[in-house]
Amino acid sequence: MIRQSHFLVIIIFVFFSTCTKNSVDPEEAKVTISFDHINNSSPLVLDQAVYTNAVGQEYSIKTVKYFISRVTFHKTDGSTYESPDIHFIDIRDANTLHLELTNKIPYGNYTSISFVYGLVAEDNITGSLGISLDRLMEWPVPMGGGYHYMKLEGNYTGSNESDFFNFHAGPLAEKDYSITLDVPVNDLLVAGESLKFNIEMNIANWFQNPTNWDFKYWGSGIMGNPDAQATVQKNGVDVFSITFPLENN
Amino acid sequence: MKNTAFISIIILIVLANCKGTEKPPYQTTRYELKLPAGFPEMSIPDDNALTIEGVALGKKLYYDPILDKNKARACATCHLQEKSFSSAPAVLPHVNLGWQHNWLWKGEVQGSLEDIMAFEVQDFFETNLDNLNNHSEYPALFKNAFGVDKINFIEVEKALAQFLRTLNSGNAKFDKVQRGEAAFTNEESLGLELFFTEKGDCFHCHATTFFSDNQFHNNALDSNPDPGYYEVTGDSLDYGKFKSPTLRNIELTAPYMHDGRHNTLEEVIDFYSEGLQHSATVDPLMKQLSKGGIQLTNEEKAALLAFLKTLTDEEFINNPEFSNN
Repeated sequence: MIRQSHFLVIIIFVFFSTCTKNSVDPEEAKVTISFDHINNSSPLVLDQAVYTNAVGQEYSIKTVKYFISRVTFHKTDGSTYESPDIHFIDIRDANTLHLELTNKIPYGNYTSISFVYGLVAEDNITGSLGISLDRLMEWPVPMGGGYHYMKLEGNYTGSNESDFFNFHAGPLAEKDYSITLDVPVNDLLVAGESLKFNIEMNIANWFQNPTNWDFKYWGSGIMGNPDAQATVQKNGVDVFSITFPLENN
Repeated sequence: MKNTAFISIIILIVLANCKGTEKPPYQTTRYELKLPAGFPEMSIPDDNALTIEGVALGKKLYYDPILDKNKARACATCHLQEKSFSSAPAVLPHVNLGWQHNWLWKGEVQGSLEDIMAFEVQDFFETNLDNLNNHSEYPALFKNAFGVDKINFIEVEKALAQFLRTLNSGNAKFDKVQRGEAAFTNEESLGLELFFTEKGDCFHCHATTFFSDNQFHNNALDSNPDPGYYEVTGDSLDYGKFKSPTLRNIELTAPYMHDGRHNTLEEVIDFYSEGLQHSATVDPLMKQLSKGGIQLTNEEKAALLAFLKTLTDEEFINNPEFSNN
């Protein structure tokens, strides 16, 4: 009888040891990010809505596709926690508008959250992100290779013209035009099972501060223009913000 | 003796708790799929791994009109190897299909190669399975490849998918240049520059490696376009959109566009240079729509044509492994 119960224990042990389960560490929180898009203070409306930029041109948006990468949490004690996720967002694909980070973060107080809009040079290697993104976001090898940071496309109408714009950003001549943003979070206490926050893109700010973007001046395609890429990078500094939903409180 | 019994039970439990250890009651030989250098991994369904028997059966079916309920046409009747497995008027080529997920010009089918083969077998050919089950050779071939005593649609579709996953083209001059085995002429180099910069801006829809983004676009073909992808989605924003075809072996796949309206590549280049037509859903990537096109010089047109011809893969169209022999 004793021998049989021993074997039963062994059997149960073997059964469970052949399955893998993640153990739950109560001292860590999973992190979920939602990606929101606005134009100034209103939710972005694709296709139909007409917006006006600082030089008086009216525009509408058809395409918003971009990468967010290297999300990093900075603790008050100086330690940092970076997640390896490279996340692609297509505003028309609801599946891409939320991201649960691969890495959890330890409980504690945090001073800031940083992330990269686009891809730093080390992450921006042709073929490294899989066939689907190769097709959607390729930055051709003859132009330096890798992937677009962003495709922002639509139509504009000025005083004497109406045309498409393709506000495509990426590296050029081995120069990295991605933006690393470090957003203060006011001594954020992480102590629960999960942390949720939003990264919000204000589309209007791509076209202003410090440079008022003139669609006609820059033309319908800017990929090969280093001045345009540098201007996009400078304008992008105030495009993103982090907000916390009420459920965290 | 008792110990042996318990050890056996433990082993049984371990095996039952792991997936993929079941052995089929028939023996197949793994088919070693050799992908062209620089191509990404092909995603192959777990339940349809390539086997020597399955690929050979798929090839036999591909060339056999038995799939047609009227026994009038085989796959190969419209998909000619010398034309990169395409034909007039607008039959899309069977090349590098293992990486696609949107099928046919209008995207009527989405999913795996098995999914599109289900459409072809059951809806297009309306295959009569009795023709296969009562055949002198096929029952044994299906038994060898899939272990079935009775042939069903699923095995026909799997066999065809297996063969199609072998039809990979990646040894054109373009590929040889990438591998350092050849060099472009000056004219081809100018064509490449036009193709891969926003001057010609071909690459956004005809992305590298497969020379297609496998997406749907309105390329400004008509002021009153055919409905295209709209017929599938019902979304007015998709009106006039068609799938970007691959440009691999494009020299061989005339005529061009979803309705085969252009007989030559010269006509196609002229269209993108000067012939764009405005309609409500034209893709913003057709950047020079307001000017009627990308406005190429004759020298640039010739260069673009020369570059496109570097995508022709003679080895692919002459490969006896793909032929009906």
